[in-house]
Amino acid sequence: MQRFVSRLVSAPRIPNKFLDCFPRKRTVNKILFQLDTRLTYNEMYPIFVQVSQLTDKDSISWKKKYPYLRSSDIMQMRNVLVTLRMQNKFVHKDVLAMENKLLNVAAELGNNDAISILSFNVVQAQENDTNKDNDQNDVETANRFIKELYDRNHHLTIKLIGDTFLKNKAYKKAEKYYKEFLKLENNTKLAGEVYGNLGEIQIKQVNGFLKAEKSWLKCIELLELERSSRWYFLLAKLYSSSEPLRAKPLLESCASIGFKECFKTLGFLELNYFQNYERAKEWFKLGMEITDLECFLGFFDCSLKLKDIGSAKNCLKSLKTFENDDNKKVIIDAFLESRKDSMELLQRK
Amino acid sequence: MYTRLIMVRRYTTSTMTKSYPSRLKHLVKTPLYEALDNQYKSGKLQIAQGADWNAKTTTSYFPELLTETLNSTRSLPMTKFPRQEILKQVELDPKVGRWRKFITGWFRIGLYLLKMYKSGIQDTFKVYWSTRHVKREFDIKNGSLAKLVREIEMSEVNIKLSSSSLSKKADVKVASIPFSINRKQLVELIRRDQIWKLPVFFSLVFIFEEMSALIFTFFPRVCPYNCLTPGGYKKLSNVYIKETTGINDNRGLGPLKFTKQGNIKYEPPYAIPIENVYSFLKCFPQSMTSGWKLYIYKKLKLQKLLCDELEKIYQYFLIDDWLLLQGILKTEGGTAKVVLSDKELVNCVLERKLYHKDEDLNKMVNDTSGQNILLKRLFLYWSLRYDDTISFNGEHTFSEKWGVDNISLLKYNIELVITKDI
Repeated sequence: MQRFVSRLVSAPRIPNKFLDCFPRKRTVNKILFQLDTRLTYNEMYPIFVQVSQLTDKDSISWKKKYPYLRSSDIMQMRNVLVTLRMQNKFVHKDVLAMENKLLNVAAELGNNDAISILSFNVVQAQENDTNKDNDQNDVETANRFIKELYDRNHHLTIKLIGDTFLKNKAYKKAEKYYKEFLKLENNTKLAGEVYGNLGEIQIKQVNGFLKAEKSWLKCIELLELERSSRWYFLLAKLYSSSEPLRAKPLLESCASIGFKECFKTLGFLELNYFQNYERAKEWFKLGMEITDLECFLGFFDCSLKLKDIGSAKNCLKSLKTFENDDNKKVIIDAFLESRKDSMELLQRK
Repeated sequence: MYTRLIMVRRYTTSTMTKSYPSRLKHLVKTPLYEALDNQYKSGKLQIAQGADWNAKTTTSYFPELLTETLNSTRSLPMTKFPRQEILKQVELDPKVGRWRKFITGWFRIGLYLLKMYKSGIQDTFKVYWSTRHVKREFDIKNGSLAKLVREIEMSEVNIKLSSSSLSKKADVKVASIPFSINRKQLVELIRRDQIWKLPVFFSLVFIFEEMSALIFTFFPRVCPYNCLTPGGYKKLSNVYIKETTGINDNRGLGPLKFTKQGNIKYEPPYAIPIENVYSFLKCFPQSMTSGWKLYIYKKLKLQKLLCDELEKIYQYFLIDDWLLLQGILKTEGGTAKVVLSDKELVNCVLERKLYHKDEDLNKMVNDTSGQNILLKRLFLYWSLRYDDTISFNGEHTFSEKWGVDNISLLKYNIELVITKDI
């Protein structure tokens, strides 16, 4: 009892700022289970608190304070925050700052993944010229780290080299590095991302769609939906004309996590191919909430097919609000022109 | 229905010069129709009768081999039965006594039939045997047709991306695109299943000998496709057209449908009532699924499975049309000729149901004006579907024109092109 009370009294107070932004224990535990982490919530929590309060001047001997801690654990803690950001599709600046601090701590502890990410951040910042404060020495050091890690066949470094080439549209080089990565690692989540990017390179090649299809199928097999929605969508696009029946469930998966581009595609699929107007209308309705012009057009058609004159008239009114935008006005005019008969019918009623 | 009938005017030799109905007038003026017509008029596209191009199957795409890779005559029935020739030969044969000329004539006809059946059986085996390697690569019953459709789609996207800065093509030009299968291989893959008719067929021929021809005339479905006589073929074609086209329906044009206003729209397989899908599938000359399976699907109301089969046929039409057009138009500007077999022409018209009940397609193809009519029907059909597509003369991919996302609502407005996203 005495020990318990003294512990309560001596425990440092957790700042409100941290409590506001940090997720609930249940949520974090769920992610820890997904990521299959080595440390438990109770072991991680004090580190999270300490990292959130860390300033540039602080120097903490992590190994002494937390003897059970490894650099990979810090990276896993960062992954928890990244996963949370992906799932919520919401960026909290304090949590983002915490992610960066964790990255720095991991690099200090000698984690190669962290060193690699930081090195690439420095190089990219210099390329983008966004951070002029970057010292030339920093860039040189970053390059040296990248080279050394590449020589050691460090997986993430190889992937990040591929990503950099892909960003700079050097597709052949990117493909080379991605393939190199896949030789080393082909059944992890990281490999899933590589498969996704590789598919995007392959689809651009002549008759590369078969390879792209295979890559994307592998990608969605390895990655969870939140991280692979883009490739779900691209795969659905690939199927949409030749095998709409295969495209539909992929698009529905995308829609389930709110991938906004898929609402109109799903709507048109239901409207034009399966001719299920009720369902198409529902998809268009969702698309209209994010003010997608094509969804308004599809909704108008669906309403007419279902003889829902009221909805069609309301949709027409809403369409007029887009007319301020010149590009959209051209499309609306073309649409109204092609629906002349329907418009007359509407006016009569 | 009315419009489809207009398109497939009843065959009479004197109506060739009749004006086209107004709804189809624009099709006659399309660049694709003109290009195809020019090919035919200039002799670069020829229809040959009784020719045999079964020397070999090759995947190469050289113009001199085009006709070999376009036609598969060994898997198709004869268009003309030489009954009069045989009887005339017997009549002129001095060795045959006058008193037995009649019996000898009919005996020789029977003998000819048996020989035809023999070669038909051999050819059915050959088709089955020679396509076994291709089948391993392209399993058409399990998604290979969809892959080939994707290949066409992607090649169109590639053309589009490479010519995005160019203005609209004035002429009909076919880009030299290597394709992973040639037409002969494709159609033989579809037709190879005829081998399963052989056990029953062989038993009937063995039992009834010359008389089996009579049985096959009344029951043409028992016969392997390449053993059909023109009489049996006509009976079969009548059954096909009768069972698929109802009073208000128009499924003769594959996925196309004329609306009451006379517009043409895409009719997706999943939007057709189950009864119509079943009758369409049952009446497809070389159905990819056996009749009893289709019957079970229908009885158990497994519409999805029936629609899947219908979708495969739509896909086959697209690939077949594309390969034929590529083959025919590839010679434009050059001196090479494309020879299409009369059997293939008849089969194309039959499969796409561009004919009228009681029309004898075999008789038509053996007559110059009839042949012209069949070709024009095919040209019109192709113009309807493929004019203004990027593979030939337009700016839009086929899927933009007829596909799911073809929001045909905006008249193929470029702003809503799906390929932008990929």
